[in-house]
Amino acid sequence: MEIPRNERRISAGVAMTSLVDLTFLLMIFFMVTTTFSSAQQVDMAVSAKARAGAVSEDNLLVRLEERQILLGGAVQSPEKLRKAVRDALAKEPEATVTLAVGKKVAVQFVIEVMDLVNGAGATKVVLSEP
Amino acid sequence: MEFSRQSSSPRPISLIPMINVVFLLLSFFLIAGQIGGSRTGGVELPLSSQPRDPLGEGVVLTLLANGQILVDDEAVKPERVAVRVVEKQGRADVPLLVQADKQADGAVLVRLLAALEAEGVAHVALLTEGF
Repeated sequence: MEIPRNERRISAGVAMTSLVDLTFLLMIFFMVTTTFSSAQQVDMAVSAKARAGAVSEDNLLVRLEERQILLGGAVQSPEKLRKAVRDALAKEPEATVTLAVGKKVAVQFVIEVMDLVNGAGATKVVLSEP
Repeated sequence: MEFSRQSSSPRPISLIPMINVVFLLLSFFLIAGQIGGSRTGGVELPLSSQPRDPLGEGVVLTLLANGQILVDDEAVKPERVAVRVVEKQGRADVPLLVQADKQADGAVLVRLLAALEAEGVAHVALLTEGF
């Protein structure tokens, strides 16, 4: 006996639509919830001993007050500080720059001054209390 | 002149390249990103324009803008911070990562670091946000 063949073929392909739906949903979820962090770290040195009187002549003491940079008691511009750091390094390449952080100084300002001092070529930067 | 008539049935869109691209994007977001708030847990890190070292692992000390101090997400009184950090570190060579809010008081941070130095905490790094 001959079995009649079904002429209409049933497609055996994978249903793509639901797969694409799900993938888009996942992609949108990750796009919305993802945050990209570019956190870095700065190795710190603190010296409680490096107070005003204890800083030797070769080293540079920079005081920070509010948003002002004080060098030798006078308010200085960032350019002047950069020049002072370069001069100190020319005299003593291993010179340490001590940042004495005073009152009402935000952490952001401390980092900005550290950037400036590092940018001028100093590698040894120490934080201290005023 | 006779033009050949275009068939009225639309050509099916080929899904495979689209799925490839979507999977590629999905993998990118999975690998490159972090879900939800970043590791800093809502602390706004100070911005630094200088190239710094990549972020490592260690005990995390957080100084919030309002002066509150957390050691590994656990609130600690200022006078107990150094002791708690030493307890958490266990071994002395575990670095301490200090994430201070950019609006936090710098003097408080320096006092904190001086107290940690007095307690013998050797490796201290301050976290910053690169551009």
